[in-house]
Amino acid sequence: MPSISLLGLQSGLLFLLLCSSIKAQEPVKVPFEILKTGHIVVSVKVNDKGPYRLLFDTGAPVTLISSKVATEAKVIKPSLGFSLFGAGGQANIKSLEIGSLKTQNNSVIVMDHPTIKVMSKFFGPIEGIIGFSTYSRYKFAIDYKESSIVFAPNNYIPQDTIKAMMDRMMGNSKNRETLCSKGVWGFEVQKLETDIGDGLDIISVAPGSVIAKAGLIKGDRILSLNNIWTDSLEDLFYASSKSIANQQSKLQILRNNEIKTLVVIPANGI
Amino acid sequence: MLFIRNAWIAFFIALLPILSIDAADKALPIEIPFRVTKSSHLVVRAKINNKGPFNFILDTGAPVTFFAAEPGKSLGLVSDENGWCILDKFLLEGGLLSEKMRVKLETPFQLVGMNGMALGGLEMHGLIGYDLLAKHKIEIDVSKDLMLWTLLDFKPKAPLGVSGKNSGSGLDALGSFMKTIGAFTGKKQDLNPVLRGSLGIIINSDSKPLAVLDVLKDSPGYKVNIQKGDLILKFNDSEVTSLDDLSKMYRLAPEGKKIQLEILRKKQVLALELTPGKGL
Repeated sequence: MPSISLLGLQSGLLFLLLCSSIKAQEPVKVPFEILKTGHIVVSVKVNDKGPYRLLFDTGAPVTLISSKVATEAKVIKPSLGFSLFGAGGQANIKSLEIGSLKTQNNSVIVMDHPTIKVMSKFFGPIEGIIGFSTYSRYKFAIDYKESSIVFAPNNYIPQDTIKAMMDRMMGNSKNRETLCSKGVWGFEVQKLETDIGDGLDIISVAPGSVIAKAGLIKGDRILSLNNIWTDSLEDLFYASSKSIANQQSKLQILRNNEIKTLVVIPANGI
Repeated sequence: MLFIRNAWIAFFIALLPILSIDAADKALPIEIPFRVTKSSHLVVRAKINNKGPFNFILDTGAPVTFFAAEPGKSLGLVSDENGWCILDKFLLEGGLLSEKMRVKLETPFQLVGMNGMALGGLEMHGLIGYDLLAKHKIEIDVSKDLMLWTLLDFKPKAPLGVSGKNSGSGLDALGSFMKTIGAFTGKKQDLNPVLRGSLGIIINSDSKPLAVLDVLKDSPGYKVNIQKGDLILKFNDSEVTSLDDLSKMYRLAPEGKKIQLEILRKKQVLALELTPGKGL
C-alpha cells in the first residue's frame, strides 16, 4: 500500500510544518548586556558556533560578522578580493541564533569593522553587528530597564540593501518616487513660500466629498494626518499614501486658533 | 569600483559614532510615525524649538543623540567646549516631547557621506541614540508605519565615551571623500518625489467592470465630464480588473503624461484624457 504510506508521510510532514510554524510565531525574549557606552550586546551563535558577542544596532543596514567568526563557522572561505578592512564580502548564514531566537538564511557582510575593533579593546571581544537585514524580519520591543528584546516574526522581507545602495550610487535607479493619495478625499491645499508655520492652508473643499461631510472647510489649516505632520505638500501626500481607503483617518486641524480633530474615511476611487 | 564599494561599505555599514570625550510610572504608549529609507535606516522626525521637522536615524549604535552642525547653526544653537548643547524643546512626530534635552551638536562623518550621495533618499539631520532611547520601551515593526514608545520608570546611566583616537581621522576623511565623489560624479539623486493628486472619481469597488459612483466638482474627472454610472474598461490601454489594480496603475503611471481612460456609457465606448489633479 505505497499510496497510504505516502499519504502518511505527507500528513506527517504537514504536521511537522504546522508545528514549526506555530512555534515560530511565539515571541522570544532575548536578554542583552548594556556596555558603558550604552550599546546593546547580544549573544549570538553562527552555524552552531559560538556564542559570540554582537552589537544590536538599529542604525546598521546589514548584519556584519568578523572574519574570525566567518572562518570558525565556515561561512565563507577567506576572500581573495581587495578590501580595506580585512576579508570582505556578502555571505549567507544558514543558522543564526540570537539568544534563543533561531533565524535562518541571513544575508551578512564579513568585515572587521574598525569601530568594533576599538570597542573590543575596551569591552572584550565583539564579533559583529545585528542590523536591519536581520532585525527587520521581526516585530521587536527593546526594553532597556529589563535589558531584553522580545522578538516575534512579522513576515517582512528586507531588500538587498547593498545592491540597492550600489544602484543608487551608480545612478541606476533613475525613477523618482511617486506619492499618490489612497482613496478620494476632496480637498486641496497650498503652502506659500513665505509661510513658515506649522501645517498647510486648505484652499478648497469639494461639496459632497467625504472631507466636507467630516466638517473640513476652506480656510482651515491641516496640522497632521494620522499623526504625521503636514507642514509641506510632500508630507501631506506621504501621509495620505500611507492611509487606507475605506478606513478611518485622523486629521488635526487649526480653526480660529483652536485645534480640532476630524475623523474621515477616504472614499474608494482614484 | 571595488574600492568605492568597500570604502562605501566601511563608512556606511554601521552608524557607530564614538564620543571623543573620555568620561563621560506606567505611561501610555505614544505612536511615533517612522519611515524606512532606501538605505534601510529607520527615520523619525523631530521639531527642535518649534522649528523643523528634521530627520533623525533611530540608532541603538549611538551613545547619545547627535544633531548635525549645519541645521544646528541655522537654529542659532551654540555648543559648549565639549560639543554639547541643551535643546529647550525636542518634539518627536507623534507627540513625544523632551525638554532641556542634551545633544551633541556635530555631524557624524557617516551622515556627511550619506547626505553627500543622498543614499537614504532623505536628507539626514542627526541620530537618536541611547540617552533618549533607553528611557523608553520601544516597539518596532518595520512592516508598519508607526512605532510605539512607552516611557519607562528608568534613568539610564550617562554613557561613557570611548576615546576615538584610533578610529577617528581616517574614517572622518572617508566621509568627506564619499561626499566629494558624490559631488564629482554628479550622482546626487533628485530627492523630491512626484506628488500625484486624485482624479476625483469615486468608484464602487464591488462592481465589475468598475462603476463610477460619484465625481467631485471641479476635479479632473469632472472636467472631462465623467458621469455617475460610467463603467471603467481600460486605463492607459490596460484592462482594469479591480480597484486595487486601477489604484496601482494610477500610482505607477508615468510622470508628466496624461491618463487615458476607456469608459463605457450607454453602450458607447468613450476615450478620455485626464491630467492628474493637485488635490487629494
